[in-house]
Amino acid sequence: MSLDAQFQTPVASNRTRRLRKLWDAYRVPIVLLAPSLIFYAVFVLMPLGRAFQLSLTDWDGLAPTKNYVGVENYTGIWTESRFLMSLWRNALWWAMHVVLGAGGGLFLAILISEVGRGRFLFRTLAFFPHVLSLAVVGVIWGQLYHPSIGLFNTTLENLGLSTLTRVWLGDPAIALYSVGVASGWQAYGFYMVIFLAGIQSIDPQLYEAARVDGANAWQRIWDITIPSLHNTMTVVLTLAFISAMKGFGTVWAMTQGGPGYASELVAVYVWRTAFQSGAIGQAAAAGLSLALIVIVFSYLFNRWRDKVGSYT
Amino acid sequence: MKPLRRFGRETNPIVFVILTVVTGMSLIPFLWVISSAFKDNTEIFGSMALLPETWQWHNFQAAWLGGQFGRYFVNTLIVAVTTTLISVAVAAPAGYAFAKTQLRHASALFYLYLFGITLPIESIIVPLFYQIKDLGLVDNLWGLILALVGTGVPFGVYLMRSFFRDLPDALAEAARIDGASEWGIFFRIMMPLAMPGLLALGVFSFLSAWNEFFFSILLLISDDTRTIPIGLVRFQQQNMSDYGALFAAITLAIIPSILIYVVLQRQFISGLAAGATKG
Repeated sequence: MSLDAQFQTPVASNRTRRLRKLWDAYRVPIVLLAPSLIFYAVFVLMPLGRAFQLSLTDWDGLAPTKNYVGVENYTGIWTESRFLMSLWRNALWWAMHVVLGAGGGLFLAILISEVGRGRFLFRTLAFFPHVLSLAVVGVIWGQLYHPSIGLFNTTLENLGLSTLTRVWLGDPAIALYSVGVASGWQAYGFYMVIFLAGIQSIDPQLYEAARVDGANAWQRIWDITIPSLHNTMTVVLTLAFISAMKGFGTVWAMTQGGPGYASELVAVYVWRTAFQSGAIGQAAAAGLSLALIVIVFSYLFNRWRDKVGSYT
Repeated sequence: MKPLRRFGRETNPIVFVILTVVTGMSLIPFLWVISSAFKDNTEIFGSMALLPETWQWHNFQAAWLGGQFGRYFVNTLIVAVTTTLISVAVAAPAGYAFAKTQLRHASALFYLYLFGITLPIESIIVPLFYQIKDLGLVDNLWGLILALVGTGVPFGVYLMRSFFRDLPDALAEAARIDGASEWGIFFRIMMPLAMPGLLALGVFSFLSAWNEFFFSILLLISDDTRTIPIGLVRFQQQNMSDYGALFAAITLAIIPSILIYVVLQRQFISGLAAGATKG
């Protein structure tokens, strides 16, 4: 084919010929790949480049000109207590996400895997919270936390514990944790499913051997299930980190980052700074800082886990 | 997904009780919302009973009419169906290219896609908004659809690559010897075989689009373009005092998600599990 092409176009330059050769060899994959690459470029890669450009300007979203300000936006946010506090809250948010979401998911997955009859039903029901939109989760929990009609406060009052009632979302000291619990409720089902898939891929002979040796359920879980989930654990912790750093939806639907900045995560900071304060350059810098943190940490964590090694 | 394996025939009663209690507690918010949807304000404020004294069906009427939920439902359906079709049509060929063609060794290019999975889309929302604005698609369902397809491409391609990689090469080789073209092999042999993967990605895309909230807040401005998640949040802001109607509206928003999930859960769960565990 390529030989023919050479004879048919004797005047073609070397470069065209090489391009033609390349096209002949890669025509099929190029055509297969092109649509995805176009979508990816237009909606992810180009915005990423634009984010970098914008982060070096003082644009307010309206002005016809964008003035180059160098790294001012970066030095600005990294010395601004509001941004640093949103990072700190994101770390707390991550901890809650790991404990309630990933931890809760592991707990349920282990219990469900121990069930004989009815396992499918439990998995289906336990997964229900995860199929809801974050908006719906936010609205539901906004009502659960309602100071007068909410389930939390009415239950506490009926139990005679009215001293424990709170304005769950209006109290700056606890708003972040209140939203975090709602978010954990939405998230655990996802991790549960991943852990269940991991548990199912464990070699059944390991359990048979344990049974022969007379291991009890606790030993079975602790000595076989947990160590065998090393790789699943790496995946879950990476996903939990990424997902926690992206935290936005539940916060937005419940508190919009308030009261004040009390529940403002980084993504909420980016949003408010851009679309409410009009500090586009600053928001772009904060967004890129977030992206860098997520990518570097995910990469380092996975390398470390690979080094620590796997039991499977 | 493999059938759920059993460790023993008998379930430890303690495990059963703990699991029932934990799952039950997790479902309380659902029960509370649905039961409150049938109560009037006096009862919502005054009683914790699970069942309402008189069933206030008109709450649903108030929610449906006051919130234009019919409209929201249609919009959500349009977004979810279109996003699903385009996502699968775009991701499947690319996944195949990375799994079965010369590109299987183009790891640098594949890493470019993997990078997109790790990159939090929240971090580039500002330029993404201006990108969509430049395309003239703000407050337009197409803006949301294209943004969802574009930002979903990396995961979709990754997932489809995993499914195509599991297919045997022998079939394609045999077809090639019989004189089938590369396109014929892809469309006639590989695509049908990858149907479980296509379904998994399809169901995953559908539910993600159905529940989408992040872009929607920014892109769906007028009542005509609102989807259920945005419509519900809006309804909550406008009906601060009619709690019965709000709970009815939440119930209306919950029902489709649960129904879709229950019907398609096998594909959905296998997609989730495959996305997280396949290398």
